[in-house]
Amino acid sequence: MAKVGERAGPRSGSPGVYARRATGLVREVSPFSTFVFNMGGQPTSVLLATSVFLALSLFPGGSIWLGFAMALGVALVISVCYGLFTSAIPRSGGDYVLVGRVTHPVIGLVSSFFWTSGVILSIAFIALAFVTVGLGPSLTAVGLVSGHHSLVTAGNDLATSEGWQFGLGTALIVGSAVLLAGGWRWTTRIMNGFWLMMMFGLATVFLVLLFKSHSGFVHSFNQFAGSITGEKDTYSSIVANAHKEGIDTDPAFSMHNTWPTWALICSLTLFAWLSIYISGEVRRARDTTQIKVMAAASTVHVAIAAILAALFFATFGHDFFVAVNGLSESESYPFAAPPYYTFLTSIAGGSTLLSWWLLITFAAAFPLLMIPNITIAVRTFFAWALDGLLPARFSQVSSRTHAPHYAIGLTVILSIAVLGWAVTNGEGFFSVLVEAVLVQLIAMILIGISAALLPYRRPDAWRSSATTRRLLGAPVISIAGVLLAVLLAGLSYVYIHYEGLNIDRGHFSRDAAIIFAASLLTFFLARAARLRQGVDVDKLASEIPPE
Amino acid sequence: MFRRRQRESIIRLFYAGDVHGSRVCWKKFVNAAAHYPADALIMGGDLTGKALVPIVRAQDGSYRARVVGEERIARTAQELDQVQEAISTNGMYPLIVDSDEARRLEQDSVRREEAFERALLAELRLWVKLADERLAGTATRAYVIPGNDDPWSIDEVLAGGRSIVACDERIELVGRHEMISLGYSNRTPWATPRELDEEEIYARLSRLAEQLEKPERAIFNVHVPPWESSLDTAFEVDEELRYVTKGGRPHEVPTGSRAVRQVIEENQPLLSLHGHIHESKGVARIGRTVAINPGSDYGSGRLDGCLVHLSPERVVGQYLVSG
Repeated sequence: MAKVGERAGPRSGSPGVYARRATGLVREVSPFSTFVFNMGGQPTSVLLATSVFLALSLFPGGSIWLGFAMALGVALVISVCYGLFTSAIPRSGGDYVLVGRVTHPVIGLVSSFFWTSGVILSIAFIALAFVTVGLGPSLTAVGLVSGHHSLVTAGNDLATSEGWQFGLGTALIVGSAVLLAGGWRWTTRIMNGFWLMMMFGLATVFLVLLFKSHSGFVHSFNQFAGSITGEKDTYSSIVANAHKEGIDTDPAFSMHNTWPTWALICSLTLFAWLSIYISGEVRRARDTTQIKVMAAASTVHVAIAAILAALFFATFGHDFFVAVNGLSESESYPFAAPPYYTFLTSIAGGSTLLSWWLLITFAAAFPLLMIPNITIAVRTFFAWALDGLLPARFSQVSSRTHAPHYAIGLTVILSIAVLGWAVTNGEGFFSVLVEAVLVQLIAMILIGISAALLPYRRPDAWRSSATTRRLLGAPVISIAGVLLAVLLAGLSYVYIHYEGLNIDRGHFSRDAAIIFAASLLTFFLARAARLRQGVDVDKLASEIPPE
Repeated sequence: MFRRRQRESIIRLFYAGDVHGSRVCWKKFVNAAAHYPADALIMGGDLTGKALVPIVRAQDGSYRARVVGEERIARTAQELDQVQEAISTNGMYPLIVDSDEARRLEQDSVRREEAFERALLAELRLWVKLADERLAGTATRAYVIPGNDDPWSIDEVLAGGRSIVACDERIELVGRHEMISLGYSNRTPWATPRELDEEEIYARLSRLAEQLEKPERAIFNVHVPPWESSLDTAFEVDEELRYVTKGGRPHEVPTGSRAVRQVIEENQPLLSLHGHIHESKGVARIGRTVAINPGSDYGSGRLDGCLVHLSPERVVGQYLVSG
């Protein structure tokens, strides 16, 4: 405990600073805890199932290794930019305050609308993917491995029925919201449990495939598939069928197709920065800790995905793995379950128990993703209500659980409405994911621009922070901000440019225009309402002149 | 006409707290009356900073200091001003010393305490002078209390201000509303200067509340927020002042005062203003009482506060602002 006038220890401040007894002088959240916090926001298992291997068939010749490296590069730039920015403006509550304080409150609100819209779309994506990627295919896989055809039928029904998609997706949204309404303490415990389950699942996959040789997998696969196809060597026939259908299982490297591969991987590697929501005063003194921890979370996330991907190619066989992913949507594909790594690993392990375990651990990733997304939306609505942009009711909290029930209710209603749209729009979950990422990219680009402007728009905050380093005469935070904005603008271009990524440009332009208009409308309606109450909102939002 | 009369009976309060030595936040607090505008200013405690930063004068005439983990070197008077400004914006006190004095401070804890106290009081005297100058000729008064982090020596400085009403453990009339104030907090892991057991907080607050003529119209200006009000949520801290993590996450706990909550529940004032827990910004209702903690972000140079419009009978509006 720091006593009056005692020199603070190296963990609690910088050398040469004498701290006294004062509330809040705490050491920062341990790097490991922050690391776990960031890892929880982007489950590696979902990245492996939904993004990486789609690229094999969609964009032949695209290098997933280069895609991983480039995605990690973007994640590291995000870590540097956000880490420096939040050390200058800490405890910000996210993009709303970061952007609003550096530029203008209206721009902060526009950024916040895009981010929150992306979060609501993400919630719908997670709910839909929970059924169409998680439960349905996994149940079918268990049925196939165990020989229980009722499970195969049930899995197919789940994955294809709009009713089940909407019903179970809604159940996941409502269940997560009820958990949040019960208080943050239980929510975090359960989230931690889901994260551990997911990691144990990935560890199981790693161990099974590590000790399974390629020839051993081919033997297990042919034995399993023979009962369905009636062929002795289904493994080879799948590769042959792929070639017949024009799928090049060993295509030459294509940079043109590496760009969309990078974009696919980025859809689940851009979000290792949720720890900026963790507050603390002394944290400011060691700005590089946040950067290092966010960078470490991104690196480990991508590294686990890359190591497992390498293991998949080695054990399953490169040509087969490309072929089976390429055929998965065609009639030549012999199985009812898609060729996710969980299915193929279950075949490799040859155990019903293993397939159930992989189902459970894979499904755990979806509530793990859902809870932080709902939390971010709820906190944003809560913050808007505190600022008078939503009725004050949405800032009320339960006296028993301290949870903002009205804000949670609003999040649930909006999310279920968007889920309904996602289920019935016929374009599938992937278009929802891409649109969610795209609108979030707009908010993140605005953060990059704001970071670049910080030394010029808020020189006081910049000078008094630990981010005043310069490189070639330019503030490092400005360089990081510009780099981030350019990289994310490039990523947005790739999403919009490549048709295989399923983005409907017309829909996206329309949705972006609606979000932009809604944010302006909200701001100016709130402004008009305040003026009627005799309150000058422009002054409420502006900085008090100190002199 | 009716609307105008109604407006005339409304008093506009600006409340902020926990500026922790940030000179720019204090300047903004004083200027808030003209900016928003407000009829009265209320400062809810924790005025003083938490750290002293020596700026060491080298033999070559340059100055060196560590500011939030970064070494700063000033070679000109302008650069020295910028370093001092950066230190004070962060709520710390700059102290220019030569290398011999820096060494003595390093070795002598009593000398450090004395230096800290001198820096702290000098800064506060400057603040009081500044408030007197800027509020001179206006009817606006700044009602100021110390918080649990503030040493006892500041009371005398606050009492010397002409525009400042030092109102700790007193009842003051703010417009038509009686206001009771208390700067103590319940016990904290930091063992700060002004802490009391819950029983003692209850006794002192109750004693003040009993003297209110119209408690239903009263304002409570109490540094520590009420227990389990959502205005008092903070990360749990262990004996080594490290965040307690459970399952890899910082563990959030209520840290407010049970006594404060009980007195609010028993007296149901119109408005209850609090600080202390910087990260637990919000508005809550305890019965009919509107309880507010505007939070604090003093280190960024922004003043988090709350503008409250009060009619005699109700809270007409409350606006959390960051100016």
